[in-house]
Parts: sequence; C-alpha cells; structure tokens
Amino acid sequence: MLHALANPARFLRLMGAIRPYAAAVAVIGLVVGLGWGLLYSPPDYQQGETVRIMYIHVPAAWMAMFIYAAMAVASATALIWRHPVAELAAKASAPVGAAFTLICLITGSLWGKPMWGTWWVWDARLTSMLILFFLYLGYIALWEAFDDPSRAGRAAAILALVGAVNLPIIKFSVDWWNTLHQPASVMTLAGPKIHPDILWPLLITAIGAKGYYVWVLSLRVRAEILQRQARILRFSAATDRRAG
Amino acid sequence: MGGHAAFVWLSFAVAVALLLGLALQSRLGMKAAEREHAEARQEAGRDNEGRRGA
Repeated sequence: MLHALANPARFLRLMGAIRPYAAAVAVIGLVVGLGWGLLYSPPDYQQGETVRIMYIHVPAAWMAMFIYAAMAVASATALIWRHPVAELAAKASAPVGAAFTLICLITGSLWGKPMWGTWWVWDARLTSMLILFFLYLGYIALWEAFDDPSRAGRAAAILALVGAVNLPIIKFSVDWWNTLHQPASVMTLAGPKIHPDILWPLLITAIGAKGYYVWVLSLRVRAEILQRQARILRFSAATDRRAG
Repeated sequence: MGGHAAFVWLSFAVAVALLLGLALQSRLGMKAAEREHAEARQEAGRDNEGRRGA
C-alpha cells in the first residue's frame, strides 16, 4: 500500500477521485455543524452564549494536533523509506495545520476574554499550543530556507519528528499541571461529559474539518507534484540541449 | 444572542475567513502549477521535435 502510493501518478489519481467527496464532506459538515452550533444549540448554563465559540475552537484544536501527527508520520515515512509523496504530503499539510492552530489560538483568546477576564495567560495548555503554532511556522520556513529540495525535506522532516514530542504535552498538560484551561470533556476514557445537544454539532463540525483537510491537502499535494515534475522536465530539457 | 455576541460572531468570521482564504489560495496554487507543468511539457516536446527534425 505504502509503496503503491509512492508512485506520484497513482497518488494523483487517488487524490483526484477522493477530492469531490472530501469537498462535499467539508462543505456539508462545516455548514451544518457551525450553523447548528451558532443558531440552534442551547446556551450553556455557565458559559452562556460564548459556548458557541467552542464549536470552532475545539475542532480546530483537534485538527491542529491531528495534522501535526499526520505530518510526523509522513516525515518518518519519507526519512525511513525515502517516500517522495509522503514528503510532499507533509509539506502540503503544514499550512493547513498552521491555519487550524491559529484559529484555535484566536478563538480561545476570544472565549477567554469574557470567561476568564483576559485574552491570554501563560497556562501550560495555551503555551504548548502556541509552541505548536511556532513549530508549524518553523517547518514552513525550513522548506523555504534551502535551495536544494531534498536537503530542505530532510531538515523539515527532522523538525516535524522532534516537534511531535509537543503533542502529548498539549494533550496531557491539563492533567500534569495546574492550569486555567479546563480538562478534556469529549475524549475521555469514561466517554464524553457534555450534553448531546452540544456534542453533536461539535462532532459534525469536526468531521467537516477532516473533510476540509483532505480536500485542501489534495489540492496542495497535486500542486507540489506538478511543480516538481515541471522542474524535472525543464532540467532534463536543459541537459539534453547542452548534450545535443 | 446576549452580551457576548461580538466575541461569538468574530470567532466565526475569523475561522471562515482563514479557511476560505486557504482553500482559495490552494486552488489558485494548483491551477498555477497545472499551467507551469503544461508549459514545461510543451517546451520538452518542442525540444524533442527540434532534435528529430535536425
């Protein structure tokens, strides 16, 4: 399976087939989930209407961590098996992950002001999430820092793997340290602790966000593969001209 | 929506703007890459024809 996907043409065909379905899941999931959360779900007895921010904040936080984990797996695959498509998939994922992390940070801040009375605190969860955002930016910057794409890919892959240490720190920061951020209420061993009226729009938005990731990833990976093929075509044409 | 409506609407607006912006930028990037690839193929094809012609 892994080796079959190493063929860029096959990977592009697969992504082309998945793309319309991913776009449909993204549009339906995000419109229904966010619309439900914004207009029809009940206010929380403590948070009031500001609980609606959670319909964006929580799926964005899940996506920020999920995409970084996917990048780390793709980077390991690229480093160990020299899988060319895995490297490009990791590269294409980074801006999407950075966007979700930024959404998580901004919406968290917008929720914090009315609820905690402050835009920001140097709490373990918030700080580790900010570090995740910097890791995404660093990863993107590393790809741009080298002229040789293979060296850039290796350096970025190592950063993605080292940065993956931050993922369990984010997840368990609310358990390991005394934080202002509330502990997990959906992904717990005992099951979700929130009411189904709030849980359902949250889960539908999360599914829409997954669809969005796959859709945008397919667009960006296609662009990366075509650009790389265009460079190879131009390089081999120039070599042929010099030889002939 | 009560006292904190501005925070809620602003959160939704930021999320929608960022996600739509990134999707649009990705789509435009893909179209540009498709054009670049087609041009490179055309150039390579011209070179090959030129060599065959010579």
